[in-house]
Amino acid sequence: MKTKVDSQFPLQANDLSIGYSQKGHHSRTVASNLNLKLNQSEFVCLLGPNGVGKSTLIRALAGMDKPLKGNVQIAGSDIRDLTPKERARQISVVLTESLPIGMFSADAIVALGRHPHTNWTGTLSEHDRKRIAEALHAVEGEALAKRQVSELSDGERQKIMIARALAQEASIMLLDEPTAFLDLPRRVELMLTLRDLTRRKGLSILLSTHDLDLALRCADKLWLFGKDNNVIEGIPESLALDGSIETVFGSENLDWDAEHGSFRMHRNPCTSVWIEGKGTALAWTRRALARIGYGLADSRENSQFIVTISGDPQNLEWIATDHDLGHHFNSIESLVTWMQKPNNGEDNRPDPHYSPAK
Amino acid sequence: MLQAFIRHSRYRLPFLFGAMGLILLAFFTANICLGSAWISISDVWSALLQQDSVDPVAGQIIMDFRMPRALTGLLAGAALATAGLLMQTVFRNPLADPFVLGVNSGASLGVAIVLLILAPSGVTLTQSLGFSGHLLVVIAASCGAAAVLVVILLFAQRVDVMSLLILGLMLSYAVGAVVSILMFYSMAERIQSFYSWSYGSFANVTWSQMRVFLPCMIGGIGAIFFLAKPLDAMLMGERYAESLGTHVKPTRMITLGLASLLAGAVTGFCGPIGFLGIAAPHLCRYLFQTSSHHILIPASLLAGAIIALGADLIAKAPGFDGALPLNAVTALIGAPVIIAALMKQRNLRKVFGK
Repeated sequence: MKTKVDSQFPLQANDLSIGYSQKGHHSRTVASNLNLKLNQSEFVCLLGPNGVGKSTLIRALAGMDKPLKGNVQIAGSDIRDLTPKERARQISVVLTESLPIGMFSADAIVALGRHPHTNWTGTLSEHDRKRIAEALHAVEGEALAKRQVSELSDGERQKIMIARALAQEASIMLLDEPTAFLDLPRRVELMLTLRDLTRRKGLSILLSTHDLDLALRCADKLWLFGKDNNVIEGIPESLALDGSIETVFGSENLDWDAEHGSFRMHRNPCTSVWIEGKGTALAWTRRALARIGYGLADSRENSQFIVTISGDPQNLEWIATDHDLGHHFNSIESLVTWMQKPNNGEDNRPDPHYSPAK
Repeated sequence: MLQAFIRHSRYRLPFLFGAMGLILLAFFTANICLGSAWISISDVWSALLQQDSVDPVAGQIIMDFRMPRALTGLLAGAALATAGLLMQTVFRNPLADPFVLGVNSGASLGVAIVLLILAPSGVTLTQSLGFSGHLLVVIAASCGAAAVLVVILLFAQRVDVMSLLILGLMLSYAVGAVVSILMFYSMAERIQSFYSWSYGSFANVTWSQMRVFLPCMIGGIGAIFFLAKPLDAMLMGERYAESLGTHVKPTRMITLGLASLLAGAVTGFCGPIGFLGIAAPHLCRYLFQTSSHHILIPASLLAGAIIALGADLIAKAPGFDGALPLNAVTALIGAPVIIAALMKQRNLRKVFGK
C-alpha cells in the first residue's frame, strides 16, 4: 500500500516488519506492522525487556538492515533509496558495539562525524573544525579532545561517540543503550544533555534504554516494545496511567507502583504492617520493611504489626507493637535486624527462610 | 629525550617523514653501491648520466643489475607494506596481511604447477626454462594469486569480514595441501627449483619485466591514496562506517582487490616475501601514534621500502654472497620489530581497540 507521503515527520516507519532473514532458514520476525513516527525536536525513549528486539528496530530505522516488510521514511523518502552519504546527513547513530579500533585521539573520532560533509580527501575546512569544537562542547568533552580513545573511560568514550554523532549534523539521532555503562549521575547528565539538544537544535532523538525511571522523567514520548512484538507509543504519564508500562515490564517478581512510577520487588508478603510516623523517616521505614518482606496494611485494624516512629529527626525512636507488646529501637537498623530475626517469640512474621537480597 | 621529542613535538610529522625519506635514500644508494663489487657514488652518478668516464663493466652492473634490483626492492616493500595496512584495516585484525587471504598460496600453487609438472622432465629448471621460463613463473604466480583473489572477492559480497578471514585461511591450507602433494610426487631437482623461488629475491626483475611490474605497482599504490577517508571510517566497524556515509561493500571489494593485486604482483615477480606486510604498518602506528590512513599510507610506503632495501642489503652482504634467502632476512627483521612494538604498546588491544 502506497500512501501519500506525509513529510512533516522527520522519521516515519510504515507497516514495518523487522527481524532476521537467513537464506534457507525461516525468517524470524521480531515485530511486524509497526507504524511509528518521530516528530521534530522530540526526545523519545525506546523501552522494552531484554531480547525483545530494540537494537534490531534501531538498526532498521537507521537503514542499516533491510526490513522484512514495509519501509522507513526520512522526511518523506524511503531510507533504502538514499545513498549512504545522503543517509548519513539525515541520521546519525550511536551503537552498543561502539568502540572504534585503532589509535585515534578523541577529536579525530569526532572528526569522523564530518565524513558525510567533506570531499574525498576528508580535508577539514574551517567550518568543519567549528562544528567539531561545538560538538565537543555540547557534551562537555573539550578536556578529552587530545587524549587517545583507548585511554578513556567507558563514560568518556560514550560522550565522544555522541559528540561524533552530533558533528554529523543530522536532524535525527538514534542511540542504542547509550547509558548502559554509566553510573547514575552520568546517566542523568547524558539524558539531560540529549534532551537539551532536541530543544536547542531541533534534533529528533530516539534512544533505547533500560532505565525506566529516567525515561519516565526525561522523555517526551515513550515507545514501549513489549513481548507481544508490538510497540506502544505515548507520553510517559499516559502509559503509566493506562497500565501499559506494567504490562510490558511486570513480572511475577515485580509490582508496578503507579503512584511512585517505579517497580517494587514483589515478595508475596505474609505479614502486614501498619506504620505511623511522618517525613523521611516514614518513607525509609516503609521501604526497609517492604524490602525485608513485610506488606503494608491498608488500615491500622487490619494489620498484624504496628510500627510507630516518634521523636525529632536527630533522635528518632521506633516502637514495634505486636500483641500489645512494644519493642523499642533507637535506629532503623536495629529495628530491621529485629524484624528479620526468625521466630523471635512471634510466629506471624514473614517466612524465616526468606532472606533479603543484597 | 629524542623519544620525548618525537612523541610531543608538533614537528613530529615532518621530522619522521623527513627522517624516513633520508634513510630510504641512503639505503637505496647503498643498495646500488654495495655488492660483490663496490662502486663509488660518483661512478654511479656518471653511469646514470651515461658519461663516458665510467668503467663500462661497472656501468653495466649498475644499469642492468643493481638499479632494477634496488627499484624492485623499493616498490615491492612499499607495495607489501601498504597491502598489509589495507588488510589489517579491512579485517580489523592486527595479524592480517595479504597472505592471510591465500594470495601467497595461490601464487605458490601456480608456480608449483609450472615448476613441478610442466617443466620438461629430466632437466633442471635453469637449463631448460631460461629467460622465458622465468616469465612463465611470473605469469603462473600471478594467475594463481588472481584465482584465489577471484574466489575471495566473490565471497566478499556475501559474507561478513570475519568469515572472509577464516575463508582465506582455509583456502590457504587447502591450496598448501595441494602444493605438498605435488611436491611429494616430484623429483628432487624440481623441488629444489621450487624452493629457490619460495626463498624470495629482488634480483629477478629485469628492465623488460619492469615494464609490467612498474605500472602494476604505481597504479596500485596510487589508488590506495583515494581510500584514506573510507578506510578511516572502516576502523569504526562496518556498520558505523556505513552510517558515516561510506559505501562499505565497494570499499571492501576495492581494498581487497588492490591489496591482492599488489601482493600478487610482488609474489609473482619476487617470490613470497613474508613479514613485511605485518611489520611495517605496526612500526608506523608505533612511530606516528595514530591510525589515520592519511598518515599511515605514506608512512607504510616509506617503512616498507626501507625494510625491503635493508633486508636486501643484509641478504647480499659480503659474507653471505647473495646466498641468504630474502624471506629469512625479512622474518628475522620483522619479528623483533613486531615484538618490540607490542612490548612498547603493552598489548595489541591498545593498538586495535576492542
